[in-house]
Amino acid sequence: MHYIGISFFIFQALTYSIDVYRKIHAPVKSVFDYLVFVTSFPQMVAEPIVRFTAVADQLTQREETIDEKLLGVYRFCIGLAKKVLIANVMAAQADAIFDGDLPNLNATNAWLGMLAYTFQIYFDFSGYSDMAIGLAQIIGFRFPENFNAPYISKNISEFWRRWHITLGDFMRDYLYIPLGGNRVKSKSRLYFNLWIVFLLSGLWHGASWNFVIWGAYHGLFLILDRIFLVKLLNRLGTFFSILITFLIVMFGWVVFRLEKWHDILLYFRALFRFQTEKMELQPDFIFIACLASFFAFFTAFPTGKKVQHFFYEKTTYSIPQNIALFLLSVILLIFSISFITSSGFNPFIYFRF
Amino acid sequence: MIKSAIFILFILLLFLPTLQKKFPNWKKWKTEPLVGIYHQPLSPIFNWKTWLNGSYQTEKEKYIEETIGLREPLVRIYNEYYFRFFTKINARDVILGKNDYLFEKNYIRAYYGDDFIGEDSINTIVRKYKAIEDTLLKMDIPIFVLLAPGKATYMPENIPDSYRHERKQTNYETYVKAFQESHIKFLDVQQWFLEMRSTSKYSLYSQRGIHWSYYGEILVTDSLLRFLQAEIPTYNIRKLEIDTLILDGQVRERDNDLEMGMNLLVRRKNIEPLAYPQFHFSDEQQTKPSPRILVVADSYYWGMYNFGLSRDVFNDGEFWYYNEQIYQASVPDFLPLKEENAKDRVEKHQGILIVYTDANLYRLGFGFIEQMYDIYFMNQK
Repeated sequence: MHYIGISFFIFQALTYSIDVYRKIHAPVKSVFDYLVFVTSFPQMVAEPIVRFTAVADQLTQREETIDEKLLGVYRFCIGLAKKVLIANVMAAQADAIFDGDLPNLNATNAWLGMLAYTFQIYFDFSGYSDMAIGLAQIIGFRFPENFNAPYISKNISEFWRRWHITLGDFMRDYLYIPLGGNRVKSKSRLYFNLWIVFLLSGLWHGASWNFVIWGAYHGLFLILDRIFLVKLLNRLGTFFSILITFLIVMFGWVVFRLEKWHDILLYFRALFRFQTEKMELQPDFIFIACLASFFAFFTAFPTGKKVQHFFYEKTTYSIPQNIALFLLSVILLIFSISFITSSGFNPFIYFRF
Repeated sequence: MIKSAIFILFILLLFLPTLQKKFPNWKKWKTEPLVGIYHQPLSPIFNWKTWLNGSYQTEKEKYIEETIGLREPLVRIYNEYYFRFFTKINARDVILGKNDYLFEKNYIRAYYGDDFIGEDSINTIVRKYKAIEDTLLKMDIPIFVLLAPGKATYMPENIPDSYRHERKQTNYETYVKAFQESHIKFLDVQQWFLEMRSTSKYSLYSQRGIHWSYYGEILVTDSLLRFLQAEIPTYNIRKLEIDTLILDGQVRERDNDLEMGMNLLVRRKNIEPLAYPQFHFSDEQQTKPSPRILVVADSYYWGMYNFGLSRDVFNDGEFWYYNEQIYQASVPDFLPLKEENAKDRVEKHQGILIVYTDANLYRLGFGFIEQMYDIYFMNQK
């Protein structure tokens, strides 16, 4: 039996004990306030990892405004759409390839599967974060942001400032800094600490060696960043640095996705076979992948940044903007619910004897 | 104020599915039921064992997802989105062919011979059929086979390219040859439709239906009744008389059963109007009785049954649907066919008609021939 969300609520509970112990914040006065913190339903079993200090004051004093509630509604609907309309579609393609005949996997489908999973995991996690943050806003809480267009990162260090931000913050404040952080005496000790933190980050994702290897893989690139890689990528320019970083991240996702070492090797062998063969595409994959690519990378451009600011950073909207966003949210909600209720509906026309 | 109203409206919208489920008969939101054969999950019963092993939660989630209020329009939105943008059809085995013709995959398999059961199997069935034909004839119960056409065989040019491949020997061709060699009387409507295709004034198949068009069905009924009258002259077989013919751009009857099964939001236009003959059966003669005819058939017979062929012409004869369910006009609900009283039921009729399309010839009669053979030959030993 698995305990749903155990890694999240354990970390969350730890932050209370550690922050109170370190006297960063006073303990709550009532056990009910503590229960509100630990069992807060929007994110109890998933991200973001909400640390005690981030919400301590909000437990007893929250300002609930109609603007925040509406922002929460829109955010929730966008998150749900990211999960259901994009991530689930990418998942269907990724599963068809990753769960298929790996020894006979051709290069085209291997790259396709890797791309599909890359988008699946991003839109799934960030979509859920949006839903949690949106729900929290509706009830007056301000949760920390968890994703910030991670696939436009120009190096792995930047990637980890944009991907699962709350996990990165947790690991930094509760593991990396106690190990010495950047203030250790030797570079080798610094690199060792970085690597350990990422090994454990990998292990946190699941009790399986592939997650540890994935963590070690990212830890290695963080070390390489500090040694030479950031400088090299900066010289290559924005486009190539984003592309190379994206490739590095994608290869990491293959390790993350496949539990068995043998399967990981088969998959990488397929990736580098360099034979073009027929793609086995789900019918809606290309369209949704284009949408996913657009949403994943558009904030690399000034217009995209403005759009991101409009949807994610504004604190209030005018009445016409609210009406437009309300209509958009309702459309996304209807489509999302229709996908959820309909994806398994595939009847026979007549009874088959 | 406006912002609060927007928020309240959103919350109310979230409750709509629940309200619709609680009060489904309120006419403002009464929804058209979904078409097709599908399993409706039941709400799981809670117990600690199923809760601890996680099966209760999985089943409950599935139950809520599949019985949510307003599900019918939600499913139609989903299906419309996938069909319009990706030509993906969310109905089992239904595919879109060329020129906007819909097909079921099994008809394409039948056309290409992918479901061929082998000459030996077919010859065995035909041999058994011949044996029971001779036995039943001694009891004055003639038996006939009507080979209904298949849509893919009728219009193979509309099969999508991805399904095209080399044709092999088919069940249909083999049965025709075996029937001819055994001097078995049968109606080859498949061949008749192919011959008529270029000269028929109206479509014999609709774009959106599985079966022959209503017009095609009426033509077949007319020919069938003439055939039966010629074969069993001691009985009166009422004639089909056409009163008028209506051309309609909006499909009727079963001419769009495939499209209905797709459960789309918007009905699609037909490329051409279809013909709908208005007819009646001639008056019964007082001099000769009408025969009670048993029909053992697949869904190709449903149209004829529904316009009263078994009730009005075949003297309330039984219709054994796939040799599993017994339908009779005078009986409100169907009965399951039980082996132990099959012989008695057969012998209450004055004729038997077997109707199957080429896609079902991998099992002609769906066990009826084998069952009758066992009754009249194997059980006697």
